[in-house]
Amino acid sequence: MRHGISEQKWVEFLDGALRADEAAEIRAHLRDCPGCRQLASELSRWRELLAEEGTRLRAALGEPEADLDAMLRRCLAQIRRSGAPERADARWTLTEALAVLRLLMEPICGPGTVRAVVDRAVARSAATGRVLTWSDWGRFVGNLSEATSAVCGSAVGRLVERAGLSLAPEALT
Amino acid sequence: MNHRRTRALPLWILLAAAAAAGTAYGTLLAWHPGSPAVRPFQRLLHLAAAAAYLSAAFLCRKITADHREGTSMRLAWGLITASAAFAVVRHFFEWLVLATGWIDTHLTTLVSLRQVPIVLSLVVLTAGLVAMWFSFAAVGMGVRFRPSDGLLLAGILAFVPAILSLREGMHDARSAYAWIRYLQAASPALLAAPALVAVVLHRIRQEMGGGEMSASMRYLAAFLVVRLVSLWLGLLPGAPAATVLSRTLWWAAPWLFLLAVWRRWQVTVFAAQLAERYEKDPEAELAGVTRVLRAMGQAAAVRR
Repeated sequence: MRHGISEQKWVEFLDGALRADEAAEIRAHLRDCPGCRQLASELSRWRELLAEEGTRLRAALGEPEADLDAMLRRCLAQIRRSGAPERADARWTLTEALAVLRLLMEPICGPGTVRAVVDRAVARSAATGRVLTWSDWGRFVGNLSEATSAVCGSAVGRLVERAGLSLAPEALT
Repeated sequence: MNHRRTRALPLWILLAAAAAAGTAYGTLLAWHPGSPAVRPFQRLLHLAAAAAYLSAAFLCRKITADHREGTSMRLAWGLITASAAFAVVRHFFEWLVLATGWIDTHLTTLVSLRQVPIVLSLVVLTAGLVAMWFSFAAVGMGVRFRPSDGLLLAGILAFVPAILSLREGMHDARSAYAWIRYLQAASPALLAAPALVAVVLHRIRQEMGGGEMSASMRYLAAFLVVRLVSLWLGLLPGAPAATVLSRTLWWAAPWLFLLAVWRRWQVTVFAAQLAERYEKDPEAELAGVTRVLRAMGQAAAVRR
């Protein structure tokens, strides 16, 4: 949470999925806060790179023989060549973890479906309104898996659960 | 469960072949209805359609098993499986009456019983699609419509009176059994009902915004509309070109359905493969993504 804007809200703002009044509020805040402006710009760039990954995964769906790992490695090498800096630690932020889940799900279920099930899972899991914290993560992953299973099948639900639990801080530290 | 993924190309080839055979059959019907080649074509097309629906029923059953007990999506796929199974029965029966010659000797009696699997298939298909809609509606999808959806609905509804006005030309309109005649008379409405649900599927597909599931919905919606349009085209009197187009669309439709089901099955296969990999070695799977996110270090630093 930064200046009252939750991680989930940033993701939705960048997706264009936020309610018009909330989006206008963030835009007004961005005009006065250079730190958040920079954050928004970085997140937007990050989002684009993740979208590129999504496109590659989507292409892989059409080419069953393609080796997803090799494809991902090629893409990452390209990103590294572009000179992007590396983070010192390997822990995920909540936004990153959410983005990874979305990245995995979008080529399968579609971004609209992912948005719908994530919204539903956040609303069911967040202890304080719509603000998700790491302490809610396990419950959130369970709810997301359940909502995804209901429309996309148990296999996709299981994928969400496996990947989601792997992203929890205790799984990576 | 074997989760091997395959290419769609063979299915597209089969769909194109069925459409081409349908075109040839329609051409014969329109310009040479007495040709001795008509019957072999009919037999071949019915067998091919039965094969397409049988394959679809097999995949539908696997998709049903991928949904949890008691969910409306499981019910939906269960009903769609039943619909495909009834379609197999219908096409196999039609092949049988052609192969045995009953089509010439029992047209208004035994042969007209084909309306039973036809109607059952349409009824359970509609019920299945409605159950599918409920599943999506539970997560807020397919509940908000646009004016263009209203236009699509009106367009589909317009086919019903148009087909009803031509119902005398339908195969079993002269059945010896009154109840079969009623079933036949109801078929335009029964075909229109799933086509109406196709508008909802189209809306859900647009809300999905892409992905493998969305591709499956696109083919499913196309299958439902194509069948209604081809029935109407086939009943137009004195329009040979419409007859040809009707048969082309009609005989391609079962393969379109198979394609829709196959694309949905690929969702399960792909997700199951990825889930297995995450289960075996989550760190290796996430390593690649970690590097993408590390590249975003600046953003993280600003956030802290």
